[in-house]
Amino acid sequence: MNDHQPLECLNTDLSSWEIGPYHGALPGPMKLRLKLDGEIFVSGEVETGYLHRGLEKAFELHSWQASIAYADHLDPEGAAFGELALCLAVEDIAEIEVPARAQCIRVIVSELARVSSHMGFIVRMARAVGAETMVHYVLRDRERILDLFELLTGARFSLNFLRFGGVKADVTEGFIERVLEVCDLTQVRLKEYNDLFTFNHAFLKRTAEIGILTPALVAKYGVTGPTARAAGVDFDVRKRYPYIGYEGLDFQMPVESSGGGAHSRFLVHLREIAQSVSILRQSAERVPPGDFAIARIEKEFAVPEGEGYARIESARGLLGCHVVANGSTNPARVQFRTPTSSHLLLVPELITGRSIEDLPVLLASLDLSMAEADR
Amino acid sequence: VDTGEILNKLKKAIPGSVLETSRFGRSDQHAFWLEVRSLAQVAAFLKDEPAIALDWVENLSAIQLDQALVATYFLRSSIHPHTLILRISIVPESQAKEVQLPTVTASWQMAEPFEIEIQELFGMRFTDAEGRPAHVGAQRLPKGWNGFPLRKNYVFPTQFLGIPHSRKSLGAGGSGR
Repeated sequence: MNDHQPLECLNTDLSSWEIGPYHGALPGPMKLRLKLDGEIFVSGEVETGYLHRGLEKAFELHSWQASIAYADHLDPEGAAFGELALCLAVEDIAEIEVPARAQCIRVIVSELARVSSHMGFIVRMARAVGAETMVHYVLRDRERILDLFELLTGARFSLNFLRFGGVKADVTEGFIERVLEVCDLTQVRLKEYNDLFTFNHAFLKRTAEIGILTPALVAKYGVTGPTARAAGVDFDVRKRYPYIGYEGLDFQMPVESSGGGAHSRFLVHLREIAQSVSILRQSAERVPPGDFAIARIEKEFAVPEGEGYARIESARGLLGCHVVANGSTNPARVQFRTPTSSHLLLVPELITGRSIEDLPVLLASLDLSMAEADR
Repeated sequence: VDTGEILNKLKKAIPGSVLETSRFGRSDQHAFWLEVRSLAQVAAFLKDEPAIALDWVENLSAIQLDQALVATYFLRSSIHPHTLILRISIVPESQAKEVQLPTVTASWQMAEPFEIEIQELFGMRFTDAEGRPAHVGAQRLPKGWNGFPLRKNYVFPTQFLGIPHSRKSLGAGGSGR
């Protein structure tokens, strides 16, 4: 159980309430089975699977070349992360050495995806508390990130940009300039978000005491990413198991040691955007010369027999990818460990003792992606 | 603690639990292949032994290799720098039959969502210490779904709720993609 005191119950007969699978307050298709005493939740269950697309089976039925496009659909809001985890696992099996320039471009794409996804989180938080102005401000700014994706990859969401051994296309001078422009703009915007929203009393009141997450709950349910760091747990894959050159970058891991509620999660997301901006600046200013890929991956491309496991820090937490190859042109198995699968376990735990009005804020603050949970 | 030391401690604490060790892919990591019935006991030991303290099941992945269903547990410690991979292998009586294996949720509750998913998609049913199903009522697939979709012999349905949906069923005038 969470540490905070449950709200006073009316001790009326319990009523049942089912929400979903489609509802505006939910993060995606899912069903909540709730028991209420008056307006207070006394228990809850989460039912998932409504967005199951057979993604892991689809990998086995298509070529390695096509697998990148499928990895995009793991979490459409952070498509680059699915691609990256898959590429790292395959490159481990096939012992592919990725050029430094390509790794640097991957860092830029990853951090842009993190900023974009975190902005999506802010939008959902703002919407949950009815702060409509903030919704429009942040969506306006996220468009600038999506513009950069379009410029680099031709797509705004499903990027299909990473390749085994590199990336699809090289960066241009114009792209780097625009990344730096967006970094400048985002830094200004972060201050505006703070002034407008972060310590606004109405926002604080709606978020500070909701969904208090403790390090013990983090360890019990396998919570990772900004959600865990907002509960005081200092774990970030980029720091603990660095990949694609994060070890050479100077950045901090924001950890919130007080609170652990929805407001702490909001703060950590904001601070992580600032860190991503710093990483983007460092990477964009020193993109090394050289190739952006080892070779073009054709449809006949086959990965030698073997298996690999990669873990990366996605915008929502630890994303793992276990790949098994049998030497053919199709994967034998691609499996993903997604952060949302674990974070969903928190919903019944954190909702108990809270009132109906807290539900949208709690769900938004856990930054859940049903796409990656169901796959 | 390195993998060799963990192996020695484990062999001493639970004799016969480790069947063999092998390298995981081309990595430096070693995987311990376990005797299936010892799994829950091994989980408790690896988590509770202070020098090992593998308190995280970072990932639990299943795969079908030939006839065998293989579960792979990717473990790490939040206190120590080491990680470990555990593997178990079970051959079902037939490809239409479920297999049973012990749940590790008594030691690692975070393994629950992985076990539920594997249970339905691979037909690997997790049971508690008394042999009872560990995840009753958990349902990801639609009720009455036939087969285990992630097994290699899975035959795709050609209709859903009585409506054919294969490309052939669209006929010559269909989308034909």
